Order: sequence, then C-alpha cells, then structure tokens
Amino acid sequence: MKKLLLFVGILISVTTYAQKNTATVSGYITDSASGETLIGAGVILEGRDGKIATGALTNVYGYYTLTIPKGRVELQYSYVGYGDIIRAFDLQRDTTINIVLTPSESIDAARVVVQKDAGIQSTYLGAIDVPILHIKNTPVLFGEADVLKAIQMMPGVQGGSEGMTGLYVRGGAADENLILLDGVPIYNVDHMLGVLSVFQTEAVKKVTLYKGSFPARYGGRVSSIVDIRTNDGNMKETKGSLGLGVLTDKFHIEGPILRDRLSYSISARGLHSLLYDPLIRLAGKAKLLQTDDGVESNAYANYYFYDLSGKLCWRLSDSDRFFLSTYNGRDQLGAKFSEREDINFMRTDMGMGWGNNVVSLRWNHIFGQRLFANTTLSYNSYRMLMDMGAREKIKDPTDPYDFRFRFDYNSGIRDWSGTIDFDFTPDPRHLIKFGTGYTYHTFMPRTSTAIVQESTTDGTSKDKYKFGEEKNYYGNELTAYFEDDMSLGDRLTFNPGLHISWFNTDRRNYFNLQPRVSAKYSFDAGVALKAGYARMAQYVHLLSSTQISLPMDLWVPITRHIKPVTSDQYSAGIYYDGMKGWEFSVEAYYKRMHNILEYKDGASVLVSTTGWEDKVEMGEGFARGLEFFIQKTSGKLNGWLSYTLAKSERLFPDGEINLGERFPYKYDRRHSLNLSLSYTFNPTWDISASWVFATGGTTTIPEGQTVVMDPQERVPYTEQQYRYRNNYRLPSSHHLNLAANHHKKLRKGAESVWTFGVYNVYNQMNPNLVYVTYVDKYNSSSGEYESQLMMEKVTMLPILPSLSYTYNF
Amino acid sequence: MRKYLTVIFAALLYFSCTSTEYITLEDRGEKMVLTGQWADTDTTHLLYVGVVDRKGVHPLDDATVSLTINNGTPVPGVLLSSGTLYTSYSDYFGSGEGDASKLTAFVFDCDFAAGDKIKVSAKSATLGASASLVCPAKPIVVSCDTTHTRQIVSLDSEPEERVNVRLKIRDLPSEVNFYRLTLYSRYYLEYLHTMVMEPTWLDYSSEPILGGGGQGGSDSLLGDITGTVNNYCLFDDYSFRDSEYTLRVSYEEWDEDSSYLLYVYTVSFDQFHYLKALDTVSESSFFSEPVSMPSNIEGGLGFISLDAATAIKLK
Repeated sequence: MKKLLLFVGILISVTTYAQKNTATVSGYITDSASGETLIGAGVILEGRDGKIATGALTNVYGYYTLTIPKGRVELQYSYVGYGDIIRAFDLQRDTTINIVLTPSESIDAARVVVQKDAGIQSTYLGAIDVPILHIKNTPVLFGEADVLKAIQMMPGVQGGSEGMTGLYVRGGAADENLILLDGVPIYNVDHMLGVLSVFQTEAVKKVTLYKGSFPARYGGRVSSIVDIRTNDGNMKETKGSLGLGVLTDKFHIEGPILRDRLSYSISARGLHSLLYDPLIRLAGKAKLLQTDDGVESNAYANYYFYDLSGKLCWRLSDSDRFFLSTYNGRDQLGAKFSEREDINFMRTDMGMGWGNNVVSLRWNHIFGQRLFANTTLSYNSYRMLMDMGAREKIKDPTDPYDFRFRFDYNSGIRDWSGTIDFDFTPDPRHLIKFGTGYTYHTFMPRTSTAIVQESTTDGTSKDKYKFGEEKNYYGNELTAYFEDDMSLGDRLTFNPGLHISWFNTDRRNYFNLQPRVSAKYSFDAGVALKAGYARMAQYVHLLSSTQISLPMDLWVPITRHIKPVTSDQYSAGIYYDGMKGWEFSVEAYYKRMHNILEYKDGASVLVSTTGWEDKVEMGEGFARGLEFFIQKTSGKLNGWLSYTLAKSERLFPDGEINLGERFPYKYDRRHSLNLSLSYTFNPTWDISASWVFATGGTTTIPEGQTVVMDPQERVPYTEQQYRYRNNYRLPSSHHLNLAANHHKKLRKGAESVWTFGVYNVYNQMNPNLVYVTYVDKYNSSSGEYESQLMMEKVTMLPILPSLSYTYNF
Repeated sequence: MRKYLTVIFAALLYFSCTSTEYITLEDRGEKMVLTGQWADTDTTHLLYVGVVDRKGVHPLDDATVSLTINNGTPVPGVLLSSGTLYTSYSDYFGSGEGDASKLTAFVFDCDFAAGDKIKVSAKSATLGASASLVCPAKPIVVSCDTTHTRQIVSLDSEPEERVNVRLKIRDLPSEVNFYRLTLYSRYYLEYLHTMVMEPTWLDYSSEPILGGGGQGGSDSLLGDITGTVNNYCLFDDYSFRDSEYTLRVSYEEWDEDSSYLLYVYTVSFDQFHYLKALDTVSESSFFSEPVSMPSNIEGGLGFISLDAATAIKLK
C-alpha cells in the first residue's frame, strides 16, 4: 500500500511539473466536404533538427490531443488522401484547434510516423487497417463488395468454406472473433448462409483487424477483433447513392439536418426478391393454378434478406457529441400452399426468419483538453423464429372435420450493455486508455411449441406440447481495462495493459485477469522490431457443426461444466516502411487455447440445445505460423501480397476424441497466398484483381469398413470405420477474380459507376461441401464388385460474371 | 426441421456442380471381423466372420471358430454357410439380408449362465481374433402391469389403442449396471404356417430415464424434429442405484391376435456404448461428426455381446 501511494505521489508530481511547462492542443479533424471525422489523422510537431519530435493521431471519434512544450510551435496535420495543413502559433495555454482537411488529387500516401492503433507504426502486432477504398472498389462474389471477404485476404485469416464469409484467424474458430459495429458486438454476421455479410460498405468508414497482441480495451473473444466504424453522416450537404446489382438493391443517403450540427445517415440493402415479394404473393393468390376439375390452388415461396441501418449525429458543442445508431437486418424464408376442392380445404405453410437488431446511444465528452470520454448504451439481439402450420377441413354437414396443427420454434440472444471509455494524454509520451463496461446477457435456447386441434362430430380435442428448454439463461459480464501506450525515448514504445473480466451465470462466477503487453523498437531507415503477448478469455460459444452459417447456429453461455475459453498468444515481427508507399512485415505467432470445444463423435447440435454440454468435449488448441505481408499504399497501382505458413492442431486428452491424440484442426491450411491489386488508369477507369490460393483443409474419412449388428434385427451391415479425426487433406483451392469500374461524372456533382466483374475467372471447381461414402465399383480385371471410397465434391461457385450499377449523388 | 433443411440443401445441390474423386485408402492389410449379438435366452448363438481389407468385407471360408466357457473344453462353431442370413427367430420380415452375403456364419449350440466367462476365438490361415465376454446377471423384474388407453399419437392416423406398461425393476446389487428393453410381438403367419416374433416399436416418450419425459422421443407428432433417440431403450442405474424404479412405456396394440413380450436385458458397459454409437450412426446426417464404432475384438474388428434377459408376457 505504501509503495502504491508513493508511486501515485511521484506520478502526480511529475505530471504537475510537466503541466507547468507544457500545454495541450486538442480538437477534431474532419473532412472539408462532408464534415466526417477522420480516424487516424496525424498531428506532428517537428523538432529543431527537422525530425519529428512528437505527434498524435485522432482516435476513432476523430479527436486528437497533443501535449507539447509551450512556445512557438508549428503543427502539421496530415491524412492519407488529403492535403496537409500547417498551423504555426504561439502556444501558451491549452488550446482547441479543429482542423478541416481537404481531399487531395494526389494519391501519394503521407507517411505519418506517430503512434497508431494499427499498421506498422502501431505498437500492436497483428493489427491491420483494412483499406476501406480497396474494399469498396473490389467487388468479390456476385459483384458485391464485402468487408469480411476483404478481411479474409489478410495474412493469418482464412475463409473456411469457399466463397463464404467465415473468419478463421490464426487457428481459431469462427465464433472466436469479436465483430463490433460502432462498438457493439454483432452475433450473426451473415446473410444467405454466409454468402454475404451484414455490413453495407457504403456506410463503413474504417475497418481494423486485431489478431495478435490485442489492445486491453477489447475482450470477450480469443482469436480476433474486427472493429468496424460507420460514417457519422455528411454535415455539409446531402449525398447518397443508389445501387443495382446481380443480387441486391442498395440505397444510401446522408446529410445535414442542421448544418455542422446535426446529421443523419441511412443505408438500406435487400435482395431483389424483397421488392418483388408483393408481386409474388399476388401471383400466388391469383387463380392461375386452378385446374379443370375445379381444384383451386394458391402457392407462395420466397426468400429475401435486408439490412437497414441509420445514424444520427448531434454535435452539441466542441465538448459534447451524441450519436444514435440503429441496425436491423433479417433473412426471411417463406412458403405456403393451399388447395380447395368442393368441401375440402387443405393448407400448409412455413416461415423462417432470423436477424439482428442493434440500437446504441453514444456520448463523447471532453474533460479539459486531455481527457476524452465515450459512453455507450446499447441493446443488441439476435433472434431466429420459425413456424409451420397445417390445416385440413372438410365442410360436410353430416360429418364435419377440422384438423389444425401449429408449430413454432424460437431461439436467440439478447444483450443490454453500457460502457465508458477514457482516452487520457497526460503528456506526449503517454496515451492512457481505461474504462469499464457491463453487459446483461439473456440466452434464449431452443424453445418449440406444438398445438394440435382436431374437431369432429364427437367433439374437439386440443393438445399442446412444449419441447426444448423453456427457461432462459442469464449472464452478467463486468469488464475493466487499463493500458498505456508509452514512448520510452525516441525508438522504444511500450504498451502494457490489463483487461479484467468477471462473468456470472448459472450461479457461478468466473474471473479472468488478461494481461496484454506489446513493445516496438524502431531502428533507422524505417526498420522496426515488435514483440507482444496477450491473454484473452471468452464466455460464449456458437453451437454449429457445419461449414456454412445456418440460422439455427446458437450462442450459448459457459455453464457449470463448460469453462471459459482462454488463449495465450505470443508474437514477434520485423517491419519495414522505409520505402515511400511500401510496407513490409514478417510476423510469427504461437497461440495456445484452453477449454476449446469440439463435438463428440456423431454429435450434431442442429435444432437442439437440449443437453448440448453432453455433445461436446473440452480440450486444447495449438496454433503457430509465419505471416509475410507486402503492401503498396500509394500510386496508381496499389494492393498487397500476403503469405501465411501456419499449423493448427487440437488435443482432447481424455480420449473421447481421436483417442486422445493430437489431430489437425478442420481449417488447418498449411499455405495461404493472397494477392489483391487495383490499378487506376484515369478518373474514368480502374480495375482490380485478386487471386487466392490455399492448400486444403482437413476432413474425416473412414479408414476402412467394419460390420455392425443391432440386437433387435440381428442383421449384419457393413459400416464405415472411423478412427482418427480430420485424417484426410483436401486438395488445394484457388481462384481469380477480376473487376473493372467505369466512372462517369454527371451533372450537379453526380456520378455513375458501372462495375463489371468475374468471380472465379478460370472456373476452378473448388469444393464448398465435401462428403465421402463407399460405393461398390466393378473391377473388370477381377470380375468382382469392390467397395471403393468415393469423395463427392460439391462446387456451388463456378465462374460467375456480374454487372452492377451505382448512381452517386 | 431436418426435412426442410434437406429440401434446402437438395435445392442448393441441384443448382451446383458436383465432381467425384475416388480415394485410394492406405493399404493397412487384412483384418478379421467378428460380429454377434447374443442373449442368454437363445438356444443357439450366431457368429458372423469375415475379412476386411481395402476393398471391403469378404467371407472367410477357411475360418474356424470356437468358444470356451470358464476355461472349459472349447466348443466348436458349426459352419452354416457363407453369404446367407440366419436369424434366431425369423428372416421373413424387416431388414432383409443386410450384408450377410459378405460374411461367413457359424453357430454355437450352448447355454450361458450368469457369471460365465466366455472367450470366443476365430482363426484362419493368416488371421486370428478373439473376444472376451462375461454373461451378466438377469435383471430383476419386481412387477409389471398394463392399462389401455385411446390416444392421438400421429398426425395422420386415427386415434390408437395403446397399452401403457408400468415396469418395476430392482437394480442389481452394487457396481454400475446397464439395461435395455425390447418389445416383441408374436403372431402366427398363416401363409407360411409359422409363428413369427419380431421387434415392435416401444414408445418411451413418457419415461425420463429413456430420454423421453413427455417430450417426443418416438414417432410422435413432431417426428424427427425433437426428442432424444434411444432406439434400444438403453438406460443405466444412475437414478435408482441399488433400489427400485418404475418405468413407464407404451406401445400400440395393432393386432388383437398377437401376443406381446417385453424383454428386459442386462447389458455390459461395452454393449451400452456400442448401442449408443449405433443410435448415433442411425441419426447421423451430413451435419454430424463421424462416429467411431467401438470394438471388443482383439486383433480384429467388430463386436460380440452377450446380454441377459428376463422376458415378460404382456398379453
């Protein structure tokens, strides 16, 4: 205690002394055309020798703070794609300077050598700012630009099934990624079984991927953090876009309600079938299916999805800003059929819908010049609802009959949460972040109800059945964190942090201390070395045993028997950005995961959470790899090349899985190579290309046959004999995508963009689904039928051209 | 639910491209496979023998089999034939021949008593395998009574005559015990002039220790949507260790002229897990993890079990 008081006393003394001779410059950096805050914009103070003495970057809310010695100062404000601004003045007290940067025609990148949250300049390892312009200009499948598919091109990230949006980061599973939309976790990130993600690129401002030494402010998942920030809305003028593609229609509009004070942003997207749904229903009701014998039939079947997001941004003052964000997305599948003939009537119907609902309220407040606070209150839910019905009615006056059946199934997860985060800059050498948060989880496992009613002349009977678990599970999660990004001299930066979490559920408490530390040493000529360690904990699991995203995939909490997943990751790397417009990095990692879940033999949790704990085993995971990354960030040609050499294994020592021996993880792909390029010919034409190569993952194939017999029929049957899991390596997969954009300026600042794309140009038949079975094949030389193991590979994504049109106004 | 998912996946597959590739498995040589499901109430016991290699399962015509009881004189197995199905009661109905044509059948003519230690051995010119079994004690049935009700159990059928069975059993003393139930209907088949006994569906949806609990578990209204599969009505004595328990099951009396026999078996730990694995295999789908079938054959593959039965005539 005495030592702690002494430390605090010294800290206060140093800080007080520093404050007497320094002053703080702070403010927001925004875009001149839209008023949008710029994240990661740099503020640099050059020293007398012309080298950068110190600097700062804007945080995710576009706010910067820089404490520097009093006196004559010259600050340079920079951001990629914008012209620099230099402010010279005599600094004698804390000052607020809000800067407006103007986009520059020059596409040379400004090299900002200050602390960053991601990238080479950052102290964090495995942190990448995914180039948002590149995402938007590089459509992938069906001509749809997609955030998660762009992340799959990063080193250390794999996509799971071909063409789907799953993320498998450094040997982790798909549910081990925390995907945040303006700070709120999104549980279901897919549409169409994983073909597209829920994120609309028109509304996205910044995407940052953390996969190594995680900042202490993040927690709850063990493999990666994807932090997606959306536009606040244009504060100056109304802008928007209309898009029409192969699959979807898109609409985006943003603009001021009160210029420079209050803005809005609205984005909407949906499958074409959403717009045609009323027509489909009408057509189904029309008597088109009436047959000559007087049978009337009505039919309806449709699938669609939509995303709807909105944001209000209110700049009350320089010290206070409020944001109200909402997202609603849904997949809907429906089918109905009815038939009427004389006195007989029959109807069956089925509907299935699943989706997210997110509402968040955020408040940014500046205390003095050095302390920035963000408070977020949010509601977040994922629900899946399914209902089926049948009716049969006979209107016979002498013997009437009426049978009704109704079944519904629902499940989901719901969170109420509040967080408060602080950025404190006592002096230029320290950027301190700390905060706390609370989340109240409600887990709604599978609940299904069936009602059967039958009416005859004998009377009416009605039975009601309930299945699954009626009670909800609840979880309380409390977190706190502290980290300090400190500069120790000109070359060494050090970021120690601690994330503390407490999770309470099922009358049990789980407490985890999660230390995080990373360090960076900068040599001359743009060379840097980094090293880091991070411990992470996870308290929820996604029950899914398939390679594609299903609406029945369910989030469940840890229980008395299922412990939290934790991971320890060590990483180190060499980085070089001494060549203007180029970045090179080599990074190595070793990750050890504890209490990971794997399904036991025969387990499938499809549509059932009953007894899910008995269907899984807890074990260990091991992942290690080497990642090479080359990125060109400026010039007409830019893009990146990434190569990953990785290995990922699992071990379940109690012997229930794979006889207690280590086995490769399902997504253990030894080599991955991703090349993504874009070239701008002129303001009218630009093209992009991406080539993806990965060696095959694993699957389980039988090692032979055996004979089984049950004690009732007592008939012997041959059956496939499995002994080892994931014992077969699938073939490599690769494909090439090309796209070309044609831009045309129209009147009043509008622009039309035609995008021509081809997915899988050379029609490589990469499998989406693989299954094996025994077939009896005739051997002509022996004249006998022999059992032969056959692998059936299903490719759903052959060569797919696309065409889309976007009107920007 | 699975039907609708099957339709969805069928549609996806219809619009997709498929390619096939034949995988040549690593040649692990030949292994003998033995399989048999015996009960102490049987008078003869069938053993199927075959050889498994990379090309599949084949009969083993040069094999000889024998068994010893309590290290006594070996009892030789009598070769029946290769490629023919033999069952203990009837082969006229149900599953057909299965893969019996790929195996060689032997029969043992002997009786077993509780506590007998049995060793089954099989040899051929190049292969050999064996299994060790212990005949369990018969389960103790304290009482069994039935009542009749009329009940809706299926979407598209008329209300059925159901027989509700209350079966009180006493757990065998000490150790952990495992049991199973099978209901047989026995009737005279006119055109074949023979009595037939075949397994009949037993509804365990109202019995918690069988995975029911009033919530599906049989071919109830929701079919394959919900419920826990327990095709062999397996249970252990966890909830009634060294005491008594009353199980509640029911069946449909579809033929007034048939008699019904409820067999209660004591099974070994290995048999319990083997049948659980069979349950899992029967319910597995594309979405399931593969199942590794347990084996108690030393030097080979397959499974031999010996269950002890107490039969109760219900009607």
